[in-house]
Amino acid sequence: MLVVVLLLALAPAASAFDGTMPVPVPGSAHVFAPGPPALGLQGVDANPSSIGDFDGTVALAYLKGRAKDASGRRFRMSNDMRVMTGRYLAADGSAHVGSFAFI
Amino acid sequence: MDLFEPGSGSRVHDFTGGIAASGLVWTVPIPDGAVVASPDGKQLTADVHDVAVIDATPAAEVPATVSFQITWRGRGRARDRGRGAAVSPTDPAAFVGRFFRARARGTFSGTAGGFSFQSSTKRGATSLFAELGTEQTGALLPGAIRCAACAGASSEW
Repeated sequence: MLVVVLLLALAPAASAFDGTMPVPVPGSAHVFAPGPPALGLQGVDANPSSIGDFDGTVALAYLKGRAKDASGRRFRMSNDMRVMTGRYLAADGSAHVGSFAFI
Repeated sequence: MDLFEPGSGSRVHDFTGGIAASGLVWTVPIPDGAVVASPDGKQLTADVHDVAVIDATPAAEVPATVSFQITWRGRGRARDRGRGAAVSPTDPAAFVGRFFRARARGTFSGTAGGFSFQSSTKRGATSLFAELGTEQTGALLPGAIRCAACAGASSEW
């Protein structure tokens, strides 16, 4: 019993990214485009995560804005940004935790 | 992050996380502390600095870094989304989750070779569509069987 308690106490905390990458979402495109069909998107029942075998928090935003380069040249900017944080399985089925951005 | 010339509308810079050999698309690790969600799950902030990406221009792909700060603010009640294991694993609805519709606002910057950009800090970039919530997919769907051997055994019962 004491050995088990010691092993649990010494085990690394499962709360930080350990360098193991997640698997993609199954399918040929490996990513979907949730959002209103009126905007040419796949509806709200489309998966916003770009990570397969995932359990966690996801935030997605399609953003528009303006930007300038160092010389002052102007651009229109359009970004599909997503963040995912939580548990996931690697390709070998091992469990991990981490945070990721879809850029 | 795509930058377009205002006049022609041509895309001149495309900062992305690249596509891994595994098929993982545009997805890069970020520090665990970079994402902070409110206890009720209705607000989330991502504050990410100097993450390594690539910039695909019409001429070439070059190593790049980007930084961004985005805040999502959920509206109304969270709604159930997805159909889980009731659809094929490759179906867009092969997940279950609860999501808020949201408004998002953010600022962005990046560098690639001799090029750098900064989004407007006065208004920031604003969302056409945004959502945030929690979800489960694949082998982590509720009730999912996590190994082929287990799946074979259960089908014999």
